[in-house]
Amino acid sequence: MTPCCRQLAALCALSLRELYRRKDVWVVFTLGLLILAPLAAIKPYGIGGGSRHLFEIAQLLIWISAAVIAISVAGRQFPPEFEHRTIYPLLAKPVSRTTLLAGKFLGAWVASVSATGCFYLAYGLFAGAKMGIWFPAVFCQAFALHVGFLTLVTALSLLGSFCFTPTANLTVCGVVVGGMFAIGQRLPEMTAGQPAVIRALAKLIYVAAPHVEFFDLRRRVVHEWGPVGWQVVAAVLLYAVVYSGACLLLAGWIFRRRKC
Amino acid sequence: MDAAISIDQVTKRFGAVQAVSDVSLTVRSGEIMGFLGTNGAGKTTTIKMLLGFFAPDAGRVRIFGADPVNAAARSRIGFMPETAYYYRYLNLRELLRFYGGLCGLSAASIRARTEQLIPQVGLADAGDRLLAHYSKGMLQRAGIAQALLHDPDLLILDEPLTGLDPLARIQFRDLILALRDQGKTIFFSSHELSEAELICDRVAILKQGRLVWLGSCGDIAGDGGQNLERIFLNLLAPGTPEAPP
Amino acid sequence: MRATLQISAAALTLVGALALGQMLPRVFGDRLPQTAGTSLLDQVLGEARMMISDGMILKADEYYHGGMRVTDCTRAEAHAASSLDLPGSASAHVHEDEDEARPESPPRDLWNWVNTRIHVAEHRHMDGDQAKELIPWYWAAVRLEPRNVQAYLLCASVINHDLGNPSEAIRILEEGIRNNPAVAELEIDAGCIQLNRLRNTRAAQACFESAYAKWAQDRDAHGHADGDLKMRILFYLCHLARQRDDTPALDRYFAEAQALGIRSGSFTAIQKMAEH
Ligand SMILES: Nc1ncnc2c1ncn2[C@@H]1O[C@H](COP(=O)(O)OP(=O)(O)O)[C@@H](O)[C@H]1O
Ligand SMILES: [Mg+2]
Repeated sequence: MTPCCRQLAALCALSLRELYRRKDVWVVFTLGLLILAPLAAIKPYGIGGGSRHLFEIAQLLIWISAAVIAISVAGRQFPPEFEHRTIYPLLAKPVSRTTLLAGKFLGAWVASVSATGCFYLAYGLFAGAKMGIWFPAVFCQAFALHVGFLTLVTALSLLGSFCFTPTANLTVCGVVVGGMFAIGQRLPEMTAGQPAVIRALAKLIYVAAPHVEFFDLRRRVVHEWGPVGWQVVAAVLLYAVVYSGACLLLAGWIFRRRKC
Repeated sequence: MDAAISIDQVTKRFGAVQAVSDVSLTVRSGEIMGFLGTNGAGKTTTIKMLLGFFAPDAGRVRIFGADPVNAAARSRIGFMPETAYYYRYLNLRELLRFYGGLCGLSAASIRARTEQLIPQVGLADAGDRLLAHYSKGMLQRAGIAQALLHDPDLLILDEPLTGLDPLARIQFRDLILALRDQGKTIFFSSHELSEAELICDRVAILKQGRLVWLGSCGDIAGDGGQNLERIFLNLLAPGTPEAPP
Repeated sequence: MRATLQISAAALTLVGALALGQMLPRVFGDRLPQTAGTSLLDQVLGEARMMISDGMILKADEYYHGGMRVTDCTRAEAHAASSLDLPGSASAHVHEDEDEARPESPPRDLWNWVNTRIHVAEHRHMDGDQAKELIPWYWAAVRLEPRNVQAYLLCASVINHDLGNPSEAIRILEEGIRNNPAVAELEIDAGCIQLNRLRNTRAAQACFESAYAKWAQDRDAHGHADGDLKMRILFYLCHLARQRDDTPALDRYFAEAQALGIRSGSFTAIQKMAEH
């Protein structure tokens, strides 16, 4: 292993260790189980066999927890380092700030992806046991796109952590992600009848804001629609990579200029 | 002998505060230099520039001839920060493994170094305890261990003595002297005049960001029986004119 | 040590969650019976209760259409059609399954191009046994708001029609009637099922008569009443009277129907029955 790889690996391991020692993931996982297990056991009107509502709720829980984990883990990479002054021994080591940022990003990304992977695995086993179809193509696409979503959100939150206080960052990222989920797709039509200024603003947001709704295949998975074309999946993942790259470049620029 | 640290007419200002003004200083390879001054004199600011945390407004600093802003130049520095505060959710072994990775060391050499260093800093039976449960002095010892991890040629220690119990101070002193005997250069800031006098080859005194005194401890003994405390008082007591270095 | 503790804690939680799931229905009986009244939910949610409950009915409707809201489909499908410049594209919403392989429309913008491919933009209908997927939402809707008559009606209809379980549908309607004693519609539907599916004319007669009585009570209480509703009740009562060859009753019902002054399909049917 080259020294640079060792540095990245060390930073990654640190983030993972932090996430799993903080037990947030376990709490989320347990909470999900506590919600779903009783729901799964209820047979409404003695009529069993309905399971899409469980899948839908499970998917919703996965999306919410994955987003919360990704935003909070990425947002926690740098601020505590500054607050607790652990950044000083870190910066004094022979590691460049670019590597440091890359390692922190990678760490947060691996942490969120691994947590989300656990959720998907549990979901896949559960759905497979219920429906007899194990990990269909659309499910794998959903996971691939979810990873894209985590990449984007991690980069966004990491960038935000250099611009805002931790709580403000959490709020801003939450609003951006939630808002784009809700209206990202319909923004141009929604503002069609508005004054030109608002239309222009909406257009700007529409073009520049992260389109997290691209990554959402829940309806296809739950209601057994067919898979998306793989070239579309590739295009969306490319979007995630480019957007995250831009966020990271900006974050790196801020971080390199910051006086510690 | 080449210079481990060379500080050349360095100035640093934070808004209205002139933290460091026109300081020039050379630390020779293999010597122990004490960097003294009252609170707010600019010691930590100087050290941060030595580590490349930020560049000086004017002048330049070099570590073994290289600019510390470059990561590679820092591979020869071991640094222990002023306030020892490390990741609470790690134990000491994990902390050292993490820093070892950052220094680019292999897993095997990290393990060997760790097992050697932990007893050396007197934490033999605390290596598996979470740092959240360490006392201030124990954290300070952990700080020394992480600074020595990659066997650096130059040690930069910011207030290494604060928080140490008397036994730890003696151990620290022995450690520093042993390191010097191995050919390491040590640059440390301190308030502890008597301690500094005991171990330093040379001493630099900073007052309001200016270097006001630079001399060897041998000079002090020969200087009419003055001790460091006296020099310090003379230089830094309010109302005394600044002596040229 | 730590790891074993964590794993055993996780395992315990899993077992606990599953046990809780198994226990709940037993504690509350296998139907978790619902009763109307001022419960804690009422106090917490107030008026929002009915809105959320109605939202669950919408959810069931979405499920019926493959997770799509039909209004959304209309828009998306109309859009796809209009970009093809088909004549009459405004009414492009066809209420049947569509082919996935629709000719590609040129993208309006890149984001839209992605979205139309990622998200489902058409709808389909559930058939037969699949309708069981709707039941949990209706069930939840009436658990949340037992006064949601619509939910009872839809649920019973799906169970009767799509799942072919008329007796369970009757039980659900009975639960609805218990919780909404003043509502005639529930009894009309129960009567229809008794009549058409269970072939139990006696029970059907009782249902329609009860509905008739409730309709009269409602008129007395409010001063006005729903004529169409009465026409429906009269239609079934006529039908049953004709089966019994009870001509006086038939004539009486026909007279009442004429008095309503509504000339609907039901009225024409009643008229035909009375004339025969
Ligand atoms: N980041 C900063 N922003 C503003 N002022 C600073 C900053 N760092 C240090 N200072 C100021 O510079 C002066 C020197 O500080 P410092 O170098 O920490 O002193 P010390 O000798 O006690 O280590 C102090 O007056 C301090 O308030
Ligand atoms: Mg200081």
